[in-house]
Amino acid sequence: MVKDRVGRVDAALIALAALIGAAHLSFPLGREHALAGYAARAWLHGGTTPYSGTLSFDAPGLVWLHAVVALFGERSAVPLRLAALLAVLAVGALAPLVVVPRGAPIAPGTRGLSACAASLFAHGYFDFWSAGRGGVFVAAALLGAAAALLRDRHALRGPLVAGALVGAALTLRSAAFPFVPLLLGVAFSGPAQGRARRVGLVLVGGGLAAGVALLPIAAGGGLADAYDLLWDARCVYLGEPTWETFGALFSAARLWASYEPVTSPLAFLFLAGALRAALQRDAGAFGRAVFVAGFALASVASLAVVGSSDLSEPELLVGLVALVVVSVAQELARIFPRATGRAHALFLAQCIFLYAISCWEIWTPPAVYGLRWRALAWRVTGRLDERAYLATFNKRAIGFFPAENAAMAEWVRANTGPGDRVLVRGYEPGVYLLAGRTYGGRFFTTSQLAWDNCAYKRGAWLAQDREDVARTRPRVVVAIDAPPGLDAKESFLALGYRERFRTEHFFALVRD
Amino acid sequence: MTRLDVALALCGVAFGAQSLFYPFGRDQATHGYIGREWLAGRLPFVSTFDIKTPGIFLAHMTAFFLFGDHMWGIRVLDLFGCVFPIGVLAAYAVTPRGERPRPGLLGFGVLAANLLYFGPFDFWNTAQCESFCSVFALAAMTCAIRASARAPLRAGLWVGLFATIAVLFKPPSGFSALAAYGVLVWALARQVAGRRAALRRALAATVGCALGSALPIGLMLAYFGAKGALPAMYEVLVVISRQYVIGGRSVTSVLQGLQATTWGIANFNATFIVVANALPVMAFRARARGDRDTLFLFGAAAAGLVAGVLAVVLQVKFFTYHWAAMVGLLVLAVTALARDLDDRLRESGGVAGMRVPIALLVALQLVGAAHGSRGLHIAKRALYYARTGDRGPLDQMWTIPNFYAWTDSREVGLWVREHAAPDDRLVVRGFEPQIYFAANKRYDGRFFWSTFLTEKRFSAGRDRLSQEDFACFKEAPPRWVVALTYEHKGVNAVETYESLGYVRREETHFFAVLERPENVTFGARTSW
Repeated sequence: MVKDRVGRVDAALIALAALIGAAHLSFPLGREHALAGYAARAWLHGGTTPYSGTLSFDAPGLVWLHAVVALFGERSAVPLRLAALLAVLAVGALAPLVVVPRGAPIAPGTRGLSACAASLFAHGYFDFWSAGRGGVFVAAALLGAAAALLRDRHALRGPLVAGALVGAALTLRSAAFPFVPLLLGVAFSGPAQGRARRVGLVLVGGGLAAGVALLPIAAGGGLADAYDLLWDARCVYLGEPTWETFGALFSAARLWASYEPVTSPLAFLFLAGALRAALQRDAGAFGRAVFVAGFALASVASLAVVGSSDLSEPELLVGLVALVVVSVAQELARIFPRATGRAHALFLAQCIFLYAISCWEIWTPPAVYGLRWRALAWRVTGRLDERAYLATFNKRAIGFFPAENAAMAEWVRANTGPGDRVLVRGYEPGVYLLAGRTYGGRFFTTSQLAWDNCAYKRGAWLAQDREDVARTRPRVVVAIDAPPGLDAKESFLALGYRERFRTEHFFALVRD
Repeated sequence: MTRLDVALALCGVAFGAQSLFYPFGRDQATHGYIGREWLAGRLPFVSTFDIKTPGIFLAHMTAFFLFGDHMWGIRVLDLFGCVFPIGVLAAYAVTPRGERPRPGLLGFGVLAANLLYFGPFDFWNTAQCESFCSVFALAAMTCAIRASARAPLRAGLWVGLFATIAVLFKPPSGFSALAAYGVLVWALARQVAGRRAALRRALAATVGCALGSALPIGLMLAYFGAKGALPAMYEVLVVISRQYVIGGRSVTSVLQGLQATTWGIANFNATFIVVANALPVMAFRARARGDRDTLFLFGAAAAGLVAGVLAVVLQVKFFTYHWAAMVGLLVLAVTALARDLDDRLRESGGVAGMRVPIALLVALQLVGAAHGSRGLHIAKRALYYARTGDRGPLDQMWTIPNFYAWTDSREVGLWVREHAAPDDRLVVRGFEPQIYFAANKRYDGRFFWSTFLTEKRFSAGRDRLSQEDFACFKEAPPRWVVALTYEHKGVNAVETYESLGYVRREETHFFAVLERPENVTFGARTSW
């Protein structure tokens, strides 16, 4: 009976975690999601190899992920959002398996707290634009790898699965490499007998996963272009490197500061628990604390090597947050063995309070989470129609208007057939997805041809873009309200296109 | 005092020593200007204007007297006159009367005080009135905790004296004073048997408090009365301050207040939150084992924290530096918990000698990336300055975008210093008194900053104050005026002085320096 009750507490908390993330299921795709989504769909249906056939700066694993997700819905954002939510819940479920030694009891409520913490972090701090961009999938894969190594005693399966998951994480985010030595260390730290074999199996598993991800791209002749875009052209999406002493440290500190009202107490409790374990010579607990500290170090290193200020980057930290919360929950259970439930409840209540109160107004990036729920409630109750709801996601500063995208996509879909080529200028790949149309050329967005970041191969790319337009002769061109140039309608009016439809910022031009 | 104490205290002071690089913010410059002028014989309220009680002006006057005309003088007082004693007082407050602090406790207190003050509070938020409030409020609390039932009058005298000095630095410290008084009565009551005896001692302590309070207030009133400054003091501290208290509120709803309070608490990294959780848990455990002394100590610490929060919340402004007033009481709570943890570890045969509390204290500091990042930035730029002599990057640390233009202030101040004669007068408009220090100049009028001449919400008598300032300016037009380039009419605008004939000589992004012509033409104007 007691076990059932305990199970219910965890189940209730996991349900709460799912509820925290539920609002995200209604979110539209941001530009970056749509970019990967387009490359994946073009690969899946048109056989266009990513990188060579479509200009994509996403890691191969991410394109794979979007391809798999597309199988569950071509034009909707829900499959991706759902996959991200499941990844978050998986992180929550896996963290206790990593932190609590095999054979030791997982304190009641720990699984639920872990899921809630992961969900609160991944959904509360990351808005539609920055959530589901890869970090949660990488974290889930890495924790899965650690859990497989620590829990699965099968001599072959555990290390192989772990290796495959590490390989998957690396294909999703190549900058996840700092986790590799950590996990190899875990494999090495097991029983002395068969250490080398375990490490070898992890490497084999990783190689297999990476091979599976890369082989189809290589077969399509995209490997050289993948290297070109992801490595040589990194200044296009990361900006020119700026070297500053301790620069990575400062930028990590700036990132972390957003979460401090919640994470500082958490980090302190974790450190206090680790200190306790060290003083009491509790080797098991201290070893796990060292692993979590290593995970923290690897997370920070992974963020630092990329050095991007993109707000989606810290999504990777969801794994660390879950690990720390599980450590804290276990420590609370140890300190208050007869009042564990109350201690956990108080702990969770304070986390939620500190999160909510520190994000109440537009003082911090995650402040919009509450507003998203409000807008969703208005949508559900009919106070907002679909268009008005989408408009709440407008990002005026960068000219992103999802409601207009949807209107334009609707018009394009209604006025073209499935085989018609459609070209969308600017950086609006979402229009293709919503309309269910493709372009056929490599440059389905043009921002990389115009960004200030760096002019990598700009001349060659512009020439290829002109050739693509001439070759594919798209039936519809969606131009943007911009000064004369690459994206403006004048460029296409001169080619014989006529304006047929417009929204506030976009023009639909049709070839006569 | 052990080697460990010395080492920890030195670490704390080394951490706090970063403040010696800090320049004045606007508030420190205002208080500093008034203190400097007071030293030169020009009385606060009469010859210079600010709505603060005189304690902080006295502190600046002392700093200028001791260290000369430098901005670091007040930082030295802040570090060694406030923060260092906070650590020492906290160690004594948690040590039973008649005993010496255990090895490591004094050092722990000093380290904690420095980390909890110079960590969360930057150049703008340190060396304000609050650090002085903090040390005197803690002194009162320490006297209350250590009060002896055999000398309640004397205990009350000290509590009243220190609590009132804290109030003279800033009146909201009254909450800390009330907490100290409550703890005093509790401390005396728990030492005697019977309600009558307790009441008698409480009465004696109350008399002592009244006498102790009367002393600094009496001295202050006597001094200003003897100088004929009481009417001006009343006008500023009562009439105008009331307008400021009402008009200066920065939150308008309970939720905003709750949020601002949480931000203030979170600014201490995890410390406040951990202490707020640990105090009741440890108090509960002390009660369970019948340890009444520890229970009392935790009760006193909790009362201090509540008073500290109330003092901030009820001002309804939630400026970051307001939280500095409770640093002393927070250090007291941290030190009390540290001592108790050390006791428990000794009992269980674990690691003693304050090493675990020290490790936890350091961990509390390390979990705050924002503070650490700021400290690293300062260290890096200070090293660069030391290596190259280029202070530009370090100065950028003191420029707050769209709020405080330190580099501009320094630039125009140095320009005036270079071009002005020793006896020239300068008036700086707006709220930029730091320029007087860069220029090493003064103004003859009371309004050396003009916020109360322009902000209607602060002063119902704004027009009268404006007329007073205009008359003063007209009587002896200063040779130099620094006006604001981004305002275009009124007392702060460059155009206003150009219409009087002043000539623009130098300009930065935010400020313009104007020089007086041969003849200034005021016309029939009587006000700005």
